[in-house]
Amino acid sequence: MGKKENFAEIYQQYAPQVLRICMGYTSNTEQAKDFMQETFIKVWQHLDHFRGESKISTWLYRIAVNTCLHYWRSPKNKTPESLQQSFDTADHEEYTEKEKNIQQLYQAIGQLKETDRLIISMVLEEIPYPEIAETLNMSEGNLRVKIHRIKQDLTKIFFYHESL
Amino acid sequence: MNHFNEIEALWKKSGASPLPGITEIMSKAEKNKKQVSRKIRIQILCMLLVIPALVYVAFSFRFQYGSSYAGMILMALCVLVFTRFRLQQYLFLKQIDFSDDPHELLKTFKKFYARQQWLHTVGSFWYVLILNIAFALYFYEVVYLAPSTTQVKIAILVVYIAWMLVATLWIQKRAHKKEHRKTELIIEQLQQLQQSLDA
Repeated sequence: MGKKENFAEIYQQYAPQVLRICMGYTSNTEQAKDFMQETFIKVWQHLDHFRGESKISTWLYRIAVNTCLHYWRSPKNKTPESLQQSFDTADHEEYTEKEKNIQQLYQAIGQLKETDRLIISMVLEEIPYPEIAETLNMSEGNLRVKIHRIKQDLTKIFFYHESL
Repeated sequence: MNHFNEIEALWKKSGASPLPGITEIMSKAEKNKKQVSRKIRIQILCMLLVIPALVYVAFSFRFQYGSSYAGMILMALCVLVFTRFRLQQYLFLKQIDFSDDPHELLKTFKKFYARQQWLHTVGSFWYVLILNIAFALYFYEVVYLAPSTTQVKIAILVVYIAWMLVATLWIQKRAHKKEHRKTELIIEQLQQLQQSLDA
């Protein structure tokens, strides 16, 4: 299979998932698309270097995580005053109830620490724990403890907002 | 964790936004790669063109004072050292592997920004200072032998020294402060990220 076909297959299979992970990180659709594009640009540029030591999905998630974490710090991208500013502050009046809830969920995730946002987005995407642990290079035990804490934090933030 | 199940259900409802076309991504990737390397090549070429220009000036005019040659040698050295650092920075960035372990990547970026901070503060202070000294040495002969009165020569000297002081002590200092704050913030954020990954 040629590079183009290989890339096309990866893109079709993983782009929607990567986009949702990026959405969890930034809460802003346009920015999430930028992050996703940046991720796949890197995938295309480095596909020849993929050694197959890990699963292609783990390799891809690592690129996505690193791209998100580094995006604002890159010299070519503007660093916002605070990442908080990047959250979608658009008027949601025309949104349906379901869309409003989804926006609230993104905003609740947005209140977590940067790394926690990525971890919980991967959990919600049902990426297996061993794969998340491998992506972040941490022990599975440590990851499970973290996930437990993040779930509690997110639940608290989300339902507190909802009750307001 | 019943509440969390509700969150999971909501996440599943979020669906997928329309994705950019695959050809768009591929052409962006190629364009991006070409643009960066072309930009750096042009920058380095422009810097290196200064060297033959200096050699041409040195051999075309018969300077009477050694200071003129010393000035030109210093200018060439400044250009070479600057080009070396620019190239080194570019190669460092190019080698960064985004599929690396996030801990390692954060460490690499911290190293990059620490180096950049040094370059933008200490490095560029010496660069401007030495370049100014080089120009002073080069123009010494021109000003000294120019058919003008002593007052005019002194005035030129005063204006030059004043400009040198303003450039290095005021303009540069302000730029350094801004740059220092920016990189300091990035390093701090990278440290926080590392800590939150380790915690």
